[in-house]
Amino acid sequence: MTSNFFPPGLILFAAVPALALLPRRAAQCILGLLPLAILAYLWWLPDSAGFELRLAGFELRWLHLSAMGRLFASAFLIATWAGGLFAWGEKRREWCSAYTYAAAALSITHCGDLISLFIFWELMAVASTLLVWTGSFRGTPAAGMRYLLVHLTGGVLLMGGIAGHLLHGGSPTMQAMELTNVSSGLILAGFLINAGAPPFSFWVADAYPHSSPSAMVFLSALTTKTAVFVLAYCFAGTAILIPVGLYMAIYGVIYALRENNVRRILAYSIVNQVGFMVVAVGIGDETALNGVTLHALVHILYKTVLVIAAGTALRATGSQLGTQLGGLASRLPFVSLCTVIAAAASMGIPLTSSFISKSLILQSATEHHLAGAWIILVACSAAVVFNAGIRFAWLTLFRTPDSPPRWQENATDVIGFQRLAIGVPAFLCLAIGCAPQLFYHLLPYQGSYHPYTAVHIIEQFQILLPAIVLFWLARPLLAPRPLIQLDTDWLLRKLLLFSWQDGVLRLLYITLNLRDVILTSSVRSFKFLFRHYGPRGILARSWPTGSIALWVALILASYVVLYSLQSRSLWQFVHSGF
Amino acid sequence: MNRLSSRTVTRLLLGILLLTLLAEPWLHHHTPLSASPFALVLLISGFGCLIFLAVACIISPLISRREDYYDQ
Repeated sequence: MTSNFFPPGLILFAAVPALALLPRRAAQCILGLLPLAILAYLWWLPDSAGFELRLAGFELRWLHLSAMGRLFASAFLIATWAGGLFAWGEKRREWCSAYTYAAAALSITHCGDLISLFIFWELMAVASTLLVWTGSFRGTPAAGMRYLLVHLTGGVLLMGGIAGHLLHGGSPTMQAMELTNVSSGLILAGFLINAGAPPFSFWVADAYPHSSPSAMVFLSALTTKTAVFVLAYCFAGTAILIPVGLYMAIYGVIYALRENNVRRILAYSIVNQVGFMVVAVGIGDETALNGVTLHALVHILYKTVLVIAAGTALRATGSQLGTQLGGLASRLPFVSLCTVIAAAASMGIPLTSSFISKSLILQSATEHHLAGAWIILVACSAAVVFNAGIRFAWLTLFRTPDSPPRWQENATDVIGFQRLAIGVPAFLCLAIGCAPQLFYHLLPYQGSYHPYTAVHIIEQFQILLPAIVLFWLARPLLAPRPLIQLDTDWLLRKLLLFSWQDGVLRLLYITLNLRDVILTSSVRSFKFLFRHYGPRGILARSWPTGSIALWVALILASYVVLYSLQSRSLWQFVHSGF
Repeated sequence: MNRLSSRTVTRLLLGILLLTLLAEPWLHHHTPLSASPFALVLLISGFGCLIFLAVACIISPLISRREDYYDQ
């Protein structure tokens, strides 16, 4: 039994024209208040709430609430609110793109059919590309194009999968699927591309650092986590996801270790943490799915803080390179405090949020006797120190720069609403860690979890301390260098360059040549006709009567000659030698 | 002074590490492994991070390029 309620995602969509048209002050009020109002509305909605409509013969369900969807939607709304406050002074174009993107992501968390999922999926791809293009870096347009290309590829796979699924009599309802045919394989591939799975893990680190400081807040929270949500909803327990997730976890660690761009370090850290979630989806039991839900929420919160910190450093200094940053802690004390809290949360230090979420994922690996996966996840948990944990904060805020940069004088801490944007998520990182039972009750499946046992706390320090010691001793090795790292996007770029030069450009050259030939011959033909039949053409002139008589006589004479040649008498006459 | 503080931090970190190691005999780890060797989690974390560092250092010269690599 469902009753009609307006979907929260549609409310956010409705705000987009208002953001574009209302006076700036009113639009800023929307940025500051609407996501919180929608959050309250989301939790007020009854479980039976629904919203259905018919479109092109399909029954679309745009409101279908689940416990997992509510938590994902809440995290999206908090990130949208924080991102909106951080984008307070940005252009309306960025606000509209961000809200369209957030509305599409929010709609996915509570849509109940595959057709609607595809519509919102594609809308998200386009809006997020516009958001990438808000950056003002030299490589931004090309990075946006690569991002769009990857996501449209994912969209095409998803569309193919959904079409195949429906053609084979599958239900359009969003529900658990099994990887038994090509259609479900295509749907899974479409989801995995958005999650940053191999071989497309590169797009996260390629696109996000090219966006504007505030746009990355939305980007880091929405795309990959939406993919995790649909994976958990449709493909929980699909074993292939375990190795895929482990690859992502390791990939994120290895690439972040020597990276110079601090926002790219955070992007690699996203892939690393999404890897944890994908492994948990692959395990697929109740503990694992609780772990995925809580870890996604927690990850969005602490990553929002870290991305805002990186954005503040970028705004203050004009640089996001580790070689040009450092020593900002004294200039940005509030940002530094929040960054330390978020970094502690990312490492899973007791009393912070990740401590209670990551333990659920490790517990599910233990319960399923996945020894290899458990060992790799423990090692990757420790290695978070090398990316979002300590290295990011060290490079951005605490490292003594090689030479005192000039911009330090202008660097100022966040003020006003931007303090709320970074402070509230940092506070939530602590609140979730300090009162875990409050949040455990909101999870999709009821279970009894007790993270604050002496064994678990000491075990967590045993995981983190070797990594911290290693980081401390290997600091010179981890110092930033002004280099970039090649990724699998090298292949894509080469392929694009090759297809551009040897495909598109050559085809264009041939087409142009062909056009030239056709045009030249057309012009020549026209000139010929004009010369003969034009107003002054040879056949259009008036001729003298004498000349006409001469020509007529000549034509008649030639006729007589030809006729005579045919006649036998003349033939004989010629042979007789006259 | 800087060097001294660096040494102090190193000693402090190693001290805490030693403390967690001393607590090991009283800990009962819940792991998926059939046998649980002494300081299992510490070993996995330490060796894991060492391997990550080594792999990053080995592949770094192969995949690192100048910042203007793609511009050319």
